[in-house]
Amino acid sequence: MLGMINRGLQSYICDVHGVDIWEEICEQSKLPFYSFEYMLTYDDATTEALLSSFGALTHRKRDEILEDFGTYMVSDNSLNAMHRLLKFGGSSYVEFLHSLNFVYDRAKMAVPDLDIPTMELVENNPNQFILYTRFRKRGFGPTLLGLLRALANDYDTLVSITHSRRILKHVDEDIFTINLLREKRHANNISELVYD
Amino acid sequence: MGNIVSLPVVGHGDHAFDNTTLNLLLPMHVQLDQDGMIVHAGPTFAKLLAFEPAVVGKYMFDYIRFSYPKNIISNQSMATFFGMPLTAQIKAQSDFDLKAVAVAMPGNTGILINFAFGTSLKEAVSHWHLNSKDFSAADPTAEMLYVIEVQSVLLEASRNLNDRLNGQREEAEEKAYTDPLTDLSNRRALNRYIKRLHRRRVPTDFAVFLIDLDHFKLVNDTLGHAAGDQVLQKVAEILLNETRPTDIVVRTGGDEFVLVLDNTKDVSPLEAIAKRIIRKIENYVLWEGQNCHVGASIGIARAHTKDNRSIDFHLQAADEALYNSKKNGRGTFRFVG
Repeated sequence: MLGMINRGLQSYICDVHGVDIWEEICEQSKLPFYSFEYMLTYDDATTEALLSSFGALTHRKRDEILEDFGTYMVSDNSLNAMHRLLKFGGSSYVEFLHSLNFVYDRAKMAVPDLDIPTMELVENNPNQFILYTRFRKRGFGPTLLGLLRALANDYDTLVSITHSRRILKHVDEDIFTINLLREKRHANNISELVYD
Repeated sequence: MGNIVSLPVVGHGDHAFDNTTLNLLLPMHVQLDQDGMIVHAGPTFAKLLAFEPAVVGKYMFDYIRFSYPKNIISNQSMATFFGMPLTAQIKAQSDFDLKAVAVAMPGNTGILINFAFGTSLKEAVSHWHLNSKDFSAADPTAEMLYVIEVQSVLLEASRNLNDRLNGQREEAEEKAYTDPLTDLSNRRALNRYIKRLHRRRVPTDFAVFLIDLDHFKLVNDTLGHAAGDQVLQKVAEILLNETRPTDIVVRTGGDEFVLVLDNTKDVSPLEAIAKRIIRKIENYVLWEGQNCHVGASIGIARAHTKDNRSIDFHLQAADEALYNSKKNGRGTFRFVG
């Protein structure tokens, strides 16, 4: 797969834990280098080796690391293209959730060999949504959980999210049940104030 | 929700669109009356002029400048360009280019202008904090943004990668053509040099020196390899000092060196160089203060690029001459033939 996830992990670990830890992880994972390239292809096992070295070094579970990584990926930062793109999905958390239906195709259009999960949102009722995602790489659901929680926070929306995982033959299916507890009305929408 | 202004309806009879519909279809449009006053603005267009508390009733040409075609400064001047592509800027935000198209309202009651972001899309979206709801649902802005954002991340990454790879390539190339002990050129660099010499448009004389150190093995055996290495480095320095930048100094292996001296027609300067090299090597090669008693024997082949001989041919000839100088008691030089 492309180096994007590995490169993302690299930024996350370097930013949060420092470059020394990162280099130690690379050495423990028997990598001949310290930096991943976005557009080069790496073996899936490399990501797993990084995650287990990092887990052992910081005494954290894989799921915990990945959830944290998901939060980091969409952290509000003017340099963060991913944050900008996801926020473009809408002016409220619900609009953002609906826009997830289109993320896969849009990302594939931009980078055809990008490896990201497919996503499908089902609205049970105005306050409950179920997001089904499928991904060839296994065990990455917690990343999405972190991302969904971080964006709820970003939209000032109180949510509770439960996550469950189904292991299918070729892919993992992750199911997120998202309950909206309190949604902040976006007050600065000028068009609503002035025009009908 | 604000006050509902009494608004005209575009079209008439059964074909009318009310403004709610127009806002959905054309969120970045504006309607002007016959005098160019704004009577209604789509929600996204209103955001662009958000520095004005109320847009309705304002003279639009005070806020929007049309850059192409020139001289659209009123309803009248705009009428000529109905249906044609226009470019415009918001006067207060002239960094952002807008595209526009204008049409007459039914019954000539005014003008409807629909705007779009052109090449400044990404900057405009971030400046006005726009999201997909600010664009028509049937509009490819979101897709464009994905392409723009991803391309700029990847372009930056690939530029960095290219820089790094290029640096490594240069380094690898340097290594591939250098003898690591002495930093002199190696055999591969010699081949490249000779090829380049033959490719030259102006034919030239050149000389090939084959230099072999005398008693070097003795130094290695009695004083050790570190002493031997230092001798080789000092010889390299001497040879570099005796040559010009356009010449090449090569360590072909062990204690054997090759010089190719470019543009050398006369014999006497070659003799002088050979003598100096031999004298300097005999005099100056020291190891921790003691003379290593190393000498040099040289075989010299003179050549011309017109002959178009390989470097191996010249080296073989020089090797015979070298053999002759060794036979003549070492510490001397001989020419081929």
